[in-house]
Parts: sequence; C-alpha cells; structure tokens
Amino acid sequence: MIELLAIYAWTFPVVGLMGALLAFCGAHLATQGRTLQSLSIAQGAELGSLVLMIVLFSSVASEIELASWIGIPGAVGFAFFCGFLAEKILLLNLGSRSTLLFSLWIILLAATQLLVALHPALESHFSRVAVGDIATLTRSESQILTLILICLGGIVFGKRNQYLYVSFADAVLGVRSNGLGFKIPLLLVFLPALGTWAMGFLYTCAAMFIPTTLLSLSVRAGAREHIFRCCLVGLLAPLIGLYLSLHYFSGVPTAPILILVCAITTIGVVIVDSLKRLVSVQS
Amino acid sequence: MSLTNEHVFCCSSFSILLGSNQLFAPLSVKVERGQVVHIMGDNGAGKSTLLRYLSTENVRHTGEVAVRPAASDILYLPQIQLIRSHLPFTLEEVSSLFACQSLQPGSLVKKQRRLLSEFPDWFNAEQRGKNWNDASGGERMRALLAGALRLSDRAVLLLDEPLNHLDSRAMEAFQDDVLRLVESQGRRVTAFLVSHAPLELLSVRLRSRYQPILLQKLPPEVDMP
Repeated sequence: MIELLAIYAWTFPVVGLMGALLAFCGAHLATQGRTLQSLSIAQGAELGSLVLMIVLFSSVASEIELASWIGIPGAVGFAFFCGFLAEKILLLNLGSRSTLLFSLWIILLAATQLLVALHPALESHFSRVAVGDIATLTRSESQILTLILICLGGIVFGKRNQYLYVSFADAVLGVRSNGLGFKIPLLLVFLPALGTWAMGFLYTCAAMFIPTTLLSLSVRAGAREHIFRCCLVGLLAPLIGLYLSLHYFSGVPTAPILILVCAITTIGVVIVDSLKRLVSVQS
Repeated sequence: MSLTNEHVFCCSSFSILLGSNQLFAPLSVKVERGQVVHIMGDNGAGKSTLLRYLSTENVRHTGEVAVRPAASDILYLPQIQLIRSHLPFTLEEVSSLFACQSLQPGSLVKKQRRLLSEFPDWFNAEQRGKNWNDASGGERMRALLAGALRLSDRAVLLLDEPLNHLDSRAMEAFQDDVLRLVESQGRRVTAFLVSHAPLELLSVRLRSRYQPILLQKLPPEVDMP
C-alpha cells in the first residue's frame, strides 16, 4: 500500500490545490450568477482539448505525453470562446438567459459526443476529460501542475479582495463586470479549463460548486469566512477521497469517489455547525 | 462653452436616446467640483439612465458633452437591490468593500480597520455584524452609504435614490456626511444625487453649490432632430 501511495505521491498536492482553487472559483462564480456559464466553459474546455487531440493525432504528434500537454491551449482557447458566447447571453436583457445558457451547454455536450463517436480512438482521452481519471496523471504532469497551481494560488490569494469586490458589486450592487475583462478570467476561464484538462469535467464542476452550495446551507455571516471554509473543504476532501480511492476502491474511477467524499465532508461540516449553533442557543 | 479644470460634467442640448427617441428634454448644464447636483424628475424621465451614462456606461445620446468624469474618479451606487447574495456578506464587509475599488491589497485591511473605527452611530456594531440577506432595506442602505461616504476615496459620487428605506434620523445623518465631504478642502467631492425626497439641509447650507436638475420626460413619439 505504501508503494502505491508513493507512486501517486505527486497526485495528492495536485488534487488538494486544484480542489481548493476550484472551490474558491465556485464561491465567487455562484455569487456572480455564473454557474451555468461555468458549465459551458468547462464543457468548452473538454471539447477544445479533444479537438486539439484529433488535430495532433492526425498530423504531427507521436508522443502521447506531448499531445496530452498540448491539450491545454485547446482547452483554454475553447473555454474562452464558450465563455465569450455565454457572456453575450448574460448581457442580453432577457428573462430566459438561464435557459439559453443551459441550451448552449447541451449543444456543446452534443458536439463532444459527436466528436468522440466519429473518432473512436479518442475514447480513452474522452474518458479522461469527461469523467476524469485522476490516477492516470503522470508524475511529470503532476509535478508541473503542482508548480502551476502554487503560482495560480499565489495570484488568487493576492487578488482575493478584488475578487470579493467584483462578487459584491455583482450580487449586492447589481453592477455586472465583464467576465472576460481583466478582472476575473483566471477564475472564470483559466482555472476551470485547467481543471477540466487535468481532472475532468465532472470533478471540476463538482469541486467548484459542491462546497459553496452545501456550506451556504449553514447560515453564517461573513463572506471571507465562507470562502475560507470552502477552500479548506476543497483542499482536504480530495486528499481524503484520493487516499480512500487508492486504498479501498482501486477498481473504480477516482473522480466519483472524490466527489462523493467532498459532498459527505461538506455535509458533515454543515451538521457540526448546526449542532454547535443549537448547543450555543440552548446554553 | 468656457471650461476649466474645475468642471466635472459639461453638456449642451444633451439627451439620452432610447431607440430613436430622446428620453428627456435637451439638457445644458455645467457642474464644478464641490457641487451637489440633485437630479429630479418623474418616474421614467431618465434619472437613473443619466447616472449610468455618467458612470461611463456606453449610452447613446444627442448633443455635445465637453467634459465627463473619469472612470477612476467615480463611485457609482445604483438603486438598492433587494436580492439575496450567495456569499453571506456581513454589512461591515459590504461597507468595507468600497475601499477595494482603488486600494492596493496590502494597504487595504489596515485602512479598512482604521476607517471602520470611525463609523458613525447610525451604523453601529450590532448592525455591522448582520448578514446582508437578513438585514432590512434601511440597514442595507446604511451599510452602502457608510462605505460610499466614509471608505471610498473617489471624488465623484453617483448615488441613485440614496434616501430610499432610510428613517428621518439616517436621512439627516446622510446629508451631514455629504456636506462634510463637499465642504472638505482635500477631496473636493462632487455628488450627483437622484432623489424624489427634498434635500432641504443640503440646499440651504450649500446655496450656490447646490444645483437642482429637473429632467422633463418627453413623449416617446417625439423624434430626434
């Protein structure tokens, strides 16, 4: 077992850091009413990654690892394009914006399915970016991703007050900022796209929105405290999930285990909070 | 029109276009630093749209605009939104976030703490700890105004219906704060206020620096010249 954990040693910091950063993104994007836009962006990242794979496999790339890394620009590029479309929809003065955004996501999902049906050789890559087999990340991929995530974490930490202001202006003042402007593309596009490329669509969406939505059930005042708790759950739950997955559920994909552990951990925090409040009220 | 560096907004024959129709009768006005501009008019006359235009939003218009405020000088407070926020902002966080507009992150927390300690009694500690989602309209407005008037360092305030939801004591306190800002020699604040309420304190104390603007609604069938 120790040998198995040693093989995946570099996967732990990746899932932990990614989970914390995605939870941070989710808290802000949910506040800004961008949940459905995020779905389209993550789906666009999945589609973009696959399109680039097809181009590479049919032309120059011979090394799988090289092709895998080159999927990132495809993911980010398509994510930006889908983010742009979704931003245009959000700016429309229509009551049916949510339905339009949902329709955009469904179209992108259908395009992805069609692409995979037309290129059966891509089945394994599709599986990775859709369901996310985190355990297949190579050691070098994990090491480079850890470095990238530490850098992104530093940027996000440094700009946390500005991000909070953008969310506040959107939710409280009703002043919508340009999602693809200089203020929030890191949260809205780059991190979800990177997450989708590395961890898959399912895990990325879950890591973004499960901690913040479930923790919001535990009514507490303080946006900064809420975000901190989201990041903490986002950091710890995937670490526990990955350990459980490697130790007890090695025969099943890692992402669903991580997502379930994330949900259970967050619900646990909510229950403990509620009990604490009940005790303090009674005393 | 003769202009100086003291002018914040100058326009002539100005009106905002809604489709091909002018929203209000052409307006010619010169606003200088340190003035309080009280924008009045019937519902739908274009008061909020004029503020949005001033907040650098792209709005089609007629007439000439020689000077308008720079985006970096503006604090725009739209009409209060009675919607719930996903993030559980406390009212103190809501106020303190106004300082985020122009400050570097390093200096932010220090300045917030210093300024929060200067908050007036009309926005007390008990109110500051409340969740935005649980607060009343008046408490929310107090938090926003406390942030806009005490923590922001912007020189042009665009306040849309700032007196909504406020009780009479808070209305007086608001006017006192606006007076303090406008009369202060350092910041030279100019305030544009959209309000249906009479701003008696401001109009009496400021006299020549109080400038009422009455927007006159035009019927939609009047075409642009």
